[in-house]
Amino acid sequence: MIFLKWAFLNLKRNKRLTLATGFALVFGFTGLLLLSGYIKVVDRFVSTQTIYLNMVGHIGILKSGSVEDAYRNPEKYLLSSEEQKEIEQVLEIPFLKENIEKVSKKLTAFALLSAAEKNLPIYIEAYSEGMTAYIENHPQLVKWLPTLLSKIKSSDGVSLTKELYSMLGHDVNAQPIDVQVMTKTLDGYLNGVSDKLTGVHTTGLAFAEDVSAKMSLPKLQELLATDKIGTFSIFLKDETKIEEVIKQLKLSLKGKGFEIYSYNSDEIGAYYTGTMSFINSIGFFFYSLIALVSIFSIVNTLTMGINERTKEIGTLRSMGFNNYQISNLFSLEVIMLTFFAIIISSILYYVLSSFINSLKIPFEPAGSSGYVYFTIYISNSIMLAHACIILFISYLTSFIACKKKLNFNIAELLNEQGVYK
Amino acid sequence: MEQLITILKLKKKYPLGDTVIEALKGIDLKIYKGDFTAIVGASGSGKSTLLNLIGTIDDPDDGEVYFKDINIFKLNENEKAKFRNEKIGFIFQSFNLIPVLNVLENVKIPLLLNKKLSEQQRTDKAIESLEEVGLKDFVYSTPNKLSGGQRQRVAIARALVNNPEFIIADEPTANLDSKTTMNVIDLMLKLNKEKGVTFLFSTHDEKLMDRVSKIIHIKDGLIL
Repeated sequence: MIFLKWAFLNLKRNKRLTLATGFALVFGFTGLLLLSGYIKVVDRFVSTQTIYLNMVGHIGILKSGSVEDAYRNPEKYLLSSEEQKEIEQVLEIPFLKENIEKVSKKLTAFALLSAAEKNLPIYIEAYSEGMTAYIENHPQLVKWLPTLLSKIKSSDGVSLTKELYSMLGHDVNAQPIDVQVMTKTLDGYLNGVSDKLTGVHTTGLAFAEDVSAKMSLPKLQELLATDKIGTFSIFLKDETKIEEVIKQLKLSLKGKGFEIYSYNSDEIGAYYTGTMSFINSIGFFFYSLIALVSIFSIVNTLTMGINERTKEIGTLRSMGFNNYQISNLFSLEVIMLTFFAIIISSILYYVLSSFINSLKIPFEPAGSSGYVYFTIYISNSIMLAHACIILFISYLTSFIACKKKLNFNIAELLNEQGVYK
Repeated sequence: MEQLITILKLKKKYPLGDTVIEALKGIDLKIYKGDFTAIVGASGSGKSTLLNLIGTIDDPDDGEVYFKDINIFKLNENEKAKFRNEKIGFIFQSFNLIPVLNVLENVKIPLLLNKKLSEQQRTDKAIESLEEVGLKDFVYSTPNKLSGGQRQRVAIARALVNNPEFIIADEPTANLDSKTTMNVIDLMLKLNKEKGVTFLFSTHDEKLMDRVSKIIHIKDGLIL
């Protein structure tokens, strides 16, 4: 108890310095929390967009080599019906079954859409039946991308983005019209199918909004004259189980010519990884900046405190305290100050985040189509993790700051002028 | 009498700009248990350097100091720290009390390193030590509320609290008026006689000479 009182009274003795450092720590730590809360929101935004809106799923199963070569030789790199059955059998394993929420087959193709006397190049994605309805009201979309939900209307026919509707000169809410879709089959013959234009969707990606179309899987297979598919997209009930599920899938499908990727890999989630590496780089820069300011504040406070209390250090050492024990006394002061700063910062983090979130500020992230609300993620785990990091940094910094002075011999310390002169 | 400190050919030099000051030029000295010894000399004669070396708070250039049969300069830093904590008490000219702690807490400081003691035992020992110096009624006062003489008494209580065999005092009365000086010296003498604590202190106050059992005159780094 005496050490705590000692540390507290020493902090109190240097009120101005303590307050200055305390403010620096509070601003720094609050900044770190808000920055982390924002990065977390962007992460959830981009991952929800990737997993649900673009239907990549948490995990994708593809034929080996298809990521690199499927566009050059689709016939070879698509999954045959036998291979699909093989994968479907593995997905029946109890552990996988209990963790998987939904499985979709996915097939894609470039094509030409004709309607209302206009022709548009499109990129079609086709999924298993009911998938549009599955994602339309998915809790994750409702939670993270509520503003984009209005851009989705599920259908059994062809679905286009609002941008393509506009290019066709057709109103999204008007009566369905007939459309024709043409492309080359996998054998190289020109083929076409007719369907109704009934749905509307969004990719959430600015660069894909003027080409993205969706249709039912059987229809696209008919257009391509194949029963093959490109990918199995697997949606999990609990995202934290992703590594375990991938491990089980890799084990069960080992040596059968398939590749398994998670949504946060470059192979199937390039948009996610690209966006997050950019955001994380910026975040890391600011994070480092804030951490450095905090470290320098602590070093500055400690150095001034140590210089002022040189004689105290000498006295303690003459009484038998070793360097480590004296360092700990100074560290205790820094940790106490950091602890107070963490409490105030945490309150500020909750208050500021709640306030910002309540404002519902519309915000369009770079590369996205449509806006989302600018929000800060409020999380105890973010706060606790950062508190541990900053306490550790404080402890380490205090040790480094004390080291130089403690290496003086005791006679020199006692002869230096301190507060007891 | 039991020999407590044996000093052999102790030398210490200090760099001062481009020159080197020879603070001690080869001191030989013996201190016995129960001695009440004053080291007397002019300013810069080497008194403080000698006390610092005996107290292991400075390192010599040459020579040896034995505490009983322990060569104290052969000890490593942690052993020296333990030695200072258990065997020696220090009293400083400017008291060196911790201003943010009260009297009781100041006296308890050396006991904090003894993990075998409970908090209550530390408090009891500190109060006992404060009783010996006549400051029982000031345990919860802070040092800035005390007079110079009272502060030095607190410093003496702190030096005594671990029951050291030996107390080193570097000009303990230099910051005190003559009446308080006599009180402090009387207190040190009383502790020397009643508890058998060996005192070695530096002074240039001639009035104290008739009260000490042994006087060592030092001049230009040599004992006269």
